[in-house]
Amino acid sequence: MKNKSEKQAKSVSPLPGERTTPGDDHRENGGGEKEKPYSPFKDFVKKFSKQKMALIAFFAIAIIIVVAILAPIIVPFDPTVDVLSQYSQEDQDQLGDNRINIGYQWVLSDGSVVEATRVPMVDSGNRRVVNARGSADSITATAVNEGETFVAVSHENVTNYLRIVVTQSQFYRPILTAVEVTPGKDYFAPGEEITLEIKGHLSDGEVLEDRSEIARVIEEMEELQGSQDTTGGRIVGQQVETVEEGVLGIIFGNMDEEILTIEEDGRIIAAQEGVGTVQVSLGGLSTVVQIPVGPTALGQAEPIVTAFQFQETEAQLVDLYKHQPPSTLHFFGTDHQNRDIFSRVLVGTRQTLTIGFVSVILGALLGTTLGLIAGYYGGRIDSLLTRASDVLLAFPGVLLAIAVIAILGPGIINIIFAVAVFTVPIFLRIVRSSAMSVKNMTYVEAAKSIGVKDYVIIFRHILPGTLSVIIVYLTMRIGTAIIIGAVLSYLGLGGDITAPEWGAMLNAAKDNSRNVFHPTLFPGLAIVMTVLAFNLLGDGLRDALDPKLKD
Amino acid sequence: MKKKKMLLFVLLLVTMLVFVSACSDVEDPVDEENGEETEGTDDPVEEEEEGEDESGMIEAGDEIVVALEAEPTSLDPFNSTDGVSTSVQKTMFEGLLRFDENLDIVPYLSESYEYNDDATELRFTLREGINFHDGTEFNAEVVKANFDFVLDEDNGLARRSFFNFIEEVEVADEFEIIIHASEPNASMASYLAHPTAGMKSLDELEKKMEDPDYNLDRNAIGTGPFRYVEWLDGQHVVVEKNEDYWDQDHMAQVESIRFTSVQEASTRVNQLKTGEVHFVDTLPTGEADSLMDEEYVNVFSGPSMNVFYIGMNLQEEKYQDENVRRAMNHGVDKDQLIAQVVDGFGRVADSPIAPPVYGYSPQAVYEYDIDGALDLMAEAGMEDGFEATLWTRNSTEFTAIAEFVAMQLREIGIEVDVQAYESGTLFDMLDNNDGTDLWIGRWSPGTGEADWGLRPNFASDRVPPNYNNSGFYINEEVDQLLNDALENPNEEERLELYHQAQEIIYQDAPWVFLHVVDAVAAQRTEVGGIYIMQDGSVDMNGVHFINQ
Repeated sequence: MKNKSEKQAKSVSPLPGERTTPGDDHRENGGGEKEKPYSPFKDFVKKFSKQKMALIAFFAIAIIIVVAILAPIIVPFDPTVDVLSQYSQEDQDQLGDNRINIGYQWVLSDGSVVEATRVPMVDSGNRRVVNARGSADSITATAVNEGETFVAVSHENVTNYLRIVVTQSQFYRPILTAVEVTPGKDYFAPGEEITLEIKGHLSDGEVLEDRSEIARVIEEMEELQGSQDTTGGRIVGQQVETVEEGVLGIIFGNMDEEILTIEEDGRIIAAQEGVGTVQVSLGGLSTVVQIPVGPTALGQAEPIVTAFQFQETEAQLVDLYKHQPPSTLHFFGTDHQNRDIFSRVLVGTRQTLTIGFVSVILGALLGTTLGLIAGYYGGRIDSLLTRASDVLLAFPGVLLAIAVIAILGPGIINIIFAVAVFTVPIFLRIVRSSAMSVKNMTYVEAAKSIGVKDYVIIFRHILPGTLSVIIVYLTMRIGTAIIIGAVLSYLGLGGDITAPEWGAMLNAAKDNSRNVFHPTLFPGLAIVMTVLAFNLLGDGLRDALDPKLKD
Repeated sequence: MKKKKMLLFVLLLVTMLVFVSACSDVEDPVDEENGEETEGTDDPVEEEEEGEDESGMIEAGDEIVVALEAEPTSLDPFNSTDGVSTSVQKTMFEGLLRFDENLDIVPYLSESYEYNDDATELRFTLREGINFHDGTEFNAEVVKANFDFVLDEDNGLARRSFFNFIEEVEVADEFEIIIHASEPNASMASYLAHPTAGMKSLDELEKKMEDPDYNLDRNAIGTGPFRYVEWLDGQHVVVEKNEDYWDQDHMAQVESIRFTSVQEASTRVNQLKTGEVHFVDTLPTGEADSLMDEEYVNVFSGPSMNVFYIGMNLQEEKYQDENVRRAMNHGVDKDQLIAQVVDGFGRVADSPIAPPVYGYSPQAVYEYDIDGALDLMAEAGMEDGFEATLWTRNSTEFTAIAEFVAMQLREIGIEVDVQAYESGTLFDMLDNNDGTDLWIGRWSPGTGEADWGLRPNFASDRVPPNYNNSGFYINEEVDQLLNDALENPNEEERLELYHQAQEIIYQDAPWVFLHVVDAVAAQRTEVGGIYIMQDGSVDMNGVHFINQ
């Protein structure tokens, strides 16, 4: 910009068609300062420095350019990769876990604990909060959203719960994780009513023996049920006829109808000798109990699985998988793929500015050349070029750019080209009109009269006269070009959709804009501020260079 | 100096952030108030609508409005393969059999059916006294004409290959029909229960045969509880109650249904909130939470048969070593994918087919293990990784998965370039093997059983352009198992064969097995009777208003 202004300053003093060397320029310039004549450049600097907004914009742009150049070095996180894999151990400790593997073993009816040989069925009480599944050696629980839920682990007729809290919870009480049922006696006689002792195990390790307390905990746990269907509705393992007992809502399922009978009121009666098995379900939890009938049945029973023994029955997780809010770790938060938005915005500056500068400079070069030719020669060339530019100007800018992308295919180079294409007619038109007025100046006439070649006249005598207009438009158009570039990549025409590009970031974030504000806010702000800076700078330049341009 | 300026810039941004977030905090209660207000005024709004529409043909309140994610491609069940079209067609067309809500096969236009001993014939006794919407009678001749029509290659119908197990359709009596299969096929009933096997009027078929320009896609004459009214391009498809429906117990309970196509998911959500539409399928999972709090909206989710996977072209040298394919499976964290991309509404795919599919057998999941994956890559001589191109559909659902997978594969050295295409373009590219490399796929076997879940994707004879095996997975053992299973009428043995086939495929890892999504949909509380079938299509033949 500075250089161009200098050029303009030189050109005001008419130089006859002699070809001057750069050395000459310099000498002449130096000479001019000694005599302190009117210097248009100094005049411009003086006028420009009076405009505070433009000055701020100028520095803002300088910073943006520096950021663009240094972005890959100064970003705290890799903008293309999930931040989870980039945390230091320290960060990780501070944040907490987002996943836990809980080992499990089987508890058999004889009290022994053995390694499980089959993978249990695992389901989360609310998959909006926690997602869980079982594998050969552990239960994996993954945090999804803030809240609390239980994870149901089932094997055949046994179901136990795990309590999982994600980030923080409204429900802060321990939950019932298992029911333990033991026969009231060593063995029962046929015809005798069977008594069962029921204990409830809480997630904090406490054991409840009082039935009314168990009932209270179960009632409270209803709050935890998500709106989703869970294993509650699914029948796991052997299907048995069930009878519900009135008081606690315990459901008994008779698995050996020959040995035991269950009355409708929930009483269990021993029918004949042998080992009977009963499934006991309570609030979604269930277990089985073996009931020996007759003295011969003692020790006869094959041990069966009655419960799970977990490494832990409670776990605290954090939901870090996406949309982390702005924090000291992530200034702008993270996006839907958990990438650091601050890093992405900074790195995106480079591509945005590249699109803005390269496309406008390309368009300006071509447009200015054509405009000078049209303005200088006039006649048929002029009308041909003017009509062509009118055709291009008839399209709205974005539409034209989309048409170009449709032909060339998506990609950043094609975006640059597309933006350049619709910049051409704007420069053509503006340069043409100012070339036409400069053309009638006497110094041009003078140059012509001594036989200076056309291209020399165009570039040495006419171009400098149009420079101020070109500079102003150049600055203004960069803002527009950045917007069009962002629009195109917003529309998914930018090629790589994973690239850290402001428009593409907005596009990816728009679906969640109802729930989270930061993924759309920051790229949007970046666009607004950059474009605003270029426009303010353009305004300032216009006022400083040529107040007459202000229509 | 420069650093200071940068800091200043950052500071400026942070200040703006604080300002804006402060604003949003203040706005929150206002939003809630607004929410309540709209809820409160819901009923008056609807009354107003009623008032307005009374002058029209249909009384408001008797019309159900459904927002679909796309416009149907055709109203001819034989000529469409997408779930959206199926949802619309189901109101107008019925087949000999159908799946009920539990995916059990039940007779529909037939009284009963039975296989012969070696599963080569399926004999139907048709229901009598059924008329099409144009008044023509439904009988065995019509059924034969329908199947002959779809099987005729000259008609070029999209679903022809679906029916190519049929060798001949024999009319035994006016209401008795026998389907002869070219090979023993114990899955015939599942195929015929698929909504694709909907019967259309003989008159329509004749019109089409006389005049090839006659457009069956826009002329839907079936036997269903609703009849076709109009299809305005880009706006809606309207069906109205069929007063002469054969099944008096299951008459339509609303005057009409209007299917609108609203591609933008957030628009569908807004329309539902304001009561403009009554039902929205394929809800963005991120929206489900906020909708759950709405008083007049019910959100429901359930297991689906949609398996998401990354297909890979096994003709490419880089994927020929199974260690590479397994490494890729180990390199993608499926749990994180489910938490992050589908907000928990999914399960890890532990088989090439989803749990509700008949014949499903779970396999040991490829656990997320970067080190193990890198070892496998090294074993295959691919320590330095390679470059790959991942094709995806351009909808949010798919691109989010593609972005995620690309990031994850980068960690095991695979530089993935994600390219998004419109779904039609993508299918064409896959069917023509236009430089296929990696692609994100979704498959749901509409027949609900393992054969249609495995054969189109893994059988040697289904490579492009024939069907969906776009990765050129060739394994004769799998072919043999699939054929044996299809021909075996013994249920236990079939299940065992399918189990083996899934085991081999999962071991061979021709896909990166991702996840099975849950179907998430939402409806206004004033309507009921809508079911999402596990194949993803919607059954709304029993739809009704609850408070009226």
